[in-house]
Amino acid sequence: MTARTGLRITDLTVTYPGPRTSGFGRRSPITAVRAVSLDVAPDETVALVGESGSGKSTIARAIVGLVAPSGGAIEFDGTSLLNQRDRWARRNIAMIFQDPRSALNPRMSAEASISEAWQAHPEAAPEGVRRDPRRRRAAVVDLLAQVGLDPDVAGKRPTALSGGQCQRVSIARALALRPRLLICDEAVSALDVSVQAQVLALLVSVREARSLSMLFITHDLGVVRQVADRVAVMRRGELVESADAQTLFADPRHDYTKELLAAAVDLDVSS
Amino acid sequence: MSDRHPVPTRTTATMSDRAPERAQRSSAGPLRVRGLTIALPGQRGTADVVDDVSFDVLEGRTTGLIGESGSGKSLTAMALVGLIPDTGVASGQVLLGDENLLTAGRARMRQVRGAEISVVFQDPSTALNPTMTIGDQVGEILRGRGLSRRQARERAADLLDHVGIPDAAGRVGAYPHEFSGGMRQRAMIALALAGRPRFVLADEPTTALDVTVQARILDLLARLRDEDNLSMLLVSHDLRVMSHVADDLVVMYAGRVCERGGAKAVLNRPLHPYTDALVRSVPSVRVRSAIADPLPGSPANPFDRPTGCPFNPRCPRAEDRCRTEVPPLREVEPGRFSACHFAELAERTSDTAAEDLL
Repeated sequence: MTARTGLRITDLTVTYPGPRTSGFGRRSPITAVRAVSLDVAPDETVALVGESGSGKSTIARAIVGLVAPSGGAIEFDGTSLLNQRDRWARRNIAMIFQDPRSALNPRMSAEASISEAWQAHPEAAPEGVRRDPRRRRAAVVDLLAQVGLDPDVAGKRPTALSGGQCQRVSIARALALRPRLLICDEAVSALDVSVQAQVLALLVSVREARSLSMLFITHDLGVVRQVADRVAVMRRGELVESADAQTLFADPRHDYTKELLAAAVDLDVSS
Repeated sequence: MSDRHPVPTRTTATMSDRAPERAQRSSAGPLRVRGLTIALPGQRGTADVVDDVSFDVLEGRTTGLIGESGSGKSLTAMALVGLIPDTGVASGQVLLGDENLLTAGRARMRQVRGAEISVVFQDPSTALNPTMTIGDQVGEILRGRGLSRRQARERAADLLDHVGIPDAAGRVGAYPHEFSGGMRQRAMIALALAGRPRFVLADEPTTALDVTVQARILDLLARLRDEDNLSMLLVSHDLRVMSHVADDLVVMYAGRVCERGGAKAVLNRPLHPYTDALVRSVPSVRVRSAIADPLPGSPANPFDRPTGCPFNPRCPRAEDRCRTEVPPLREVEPGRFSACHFAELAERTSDTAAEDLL
């Protein structure tokens, strides 16, 4: 059993090969993330905000092993995540993406999508779900209920579901292995406003019920305000400010944070 | 048009020579949508996905058309410029002066688009031609209106300058990929203004942009409305954007108008429970309440519209009547229209709901 220290990112640097300057020229590398250090404690929601190209999604991809960092360390509960084949990490870290339709296999029912994780990680599967279809169905229905979906969704494919329902299925799938860290990459950006509020409320309640660490990546400061305990602001690959959410919104220190807050388009009902 | 947006006199002469219908341009008036209904074939038969929609786009004002997925807002907007899918059947009227654009025919609609009503699309990187310079794309429209190559280039630079592109004269030769997302959207707006249209239809013009850029584009749209007396129909799902630029609001749900009125009035005191729920679920930077009491369910599908009021399955105050009787859009207060049986009680509803939150 490992200690619950949460996510700890130290001096993370990620570089991508840049464009070639000529047909035979060398690629000049682009630094997408430069020396970023960031912690997410258990039971904490940290929002990572920034504009496109700021490197926020690259950090998420580095955490789940989709890109290899060129420097720094990423640990979760004391275990390094830089060994990309680590099954433990894959089981304990789940990610939810922006577009729920493209994140789910269109040919698989919700039940198949959710239970696929149990085939890959039998050690984390509820008892008997791999052999007994009835137990599997019951476990899926239980997960669906936790994300506010009816049992009949289990047999449906993504095309038969609304965008909000698909995102709930994605969340159910992410929870199937009882992860300790949930990474949400623009997870509500593609949803309708009224559905967005539901899914945000769901994520908050799931995080509380399961004592998850949550890294919430978004460009929408209004959404950040609703869910975050702490906010980290990225700009051009660097972390420019990180503070308690209340403090950051009330008293931003960095000029860029001030600029972002000033530019945030809020509901204006003044006459 | 101010001195920043000059039009060579010869141009005007040439344009009226070649396009006699432009003589009517001075006869101002709103763009009136009356009983617009659009039937589209679906998996289980044809459905009116836009159903009896009426509103005006008034001159020099920005009308916001707001709704979620399936509300029919984009289809409604595209019907104004004759761009609905071939399988769709539109009825009702879209009146530009006395002319019904729904029956105008393809050739006439090609004239209307750009010259009378132009369109700014959501994603400028797909709407602009990647193989042509920005100047040539703006100039193409001007050349079509009889300007010489040199005049078109000068005027293109003027237009780019007008929409806030720095060093416009030096950048008419740039290609879209050399522009940032915000600059591309500015170029797109310049393109829309090139034909000197009376109406601009902007479909989610800031949705694909970064926060800081979004605010600047909204400022630009507001400035164009004021300086050029531009009439605009802004289509968006984002109430925050609407609250900054819209003068009038048309709220759509499941293909129908559920509320309509002055933007500030509608947002301050919605007279339809759906509008009320939308306002409450806006994630605001100032308050942490958007997720306190989320609306259940998903937006209704116009192919499978609930009977009675389409909002009834999600409505906190639905009664038996709402499940059977379609509420007509009616004037509840001067200038305020709502399609709710209980619109008069709306204010009380929002008060009690606010108490529930505490």
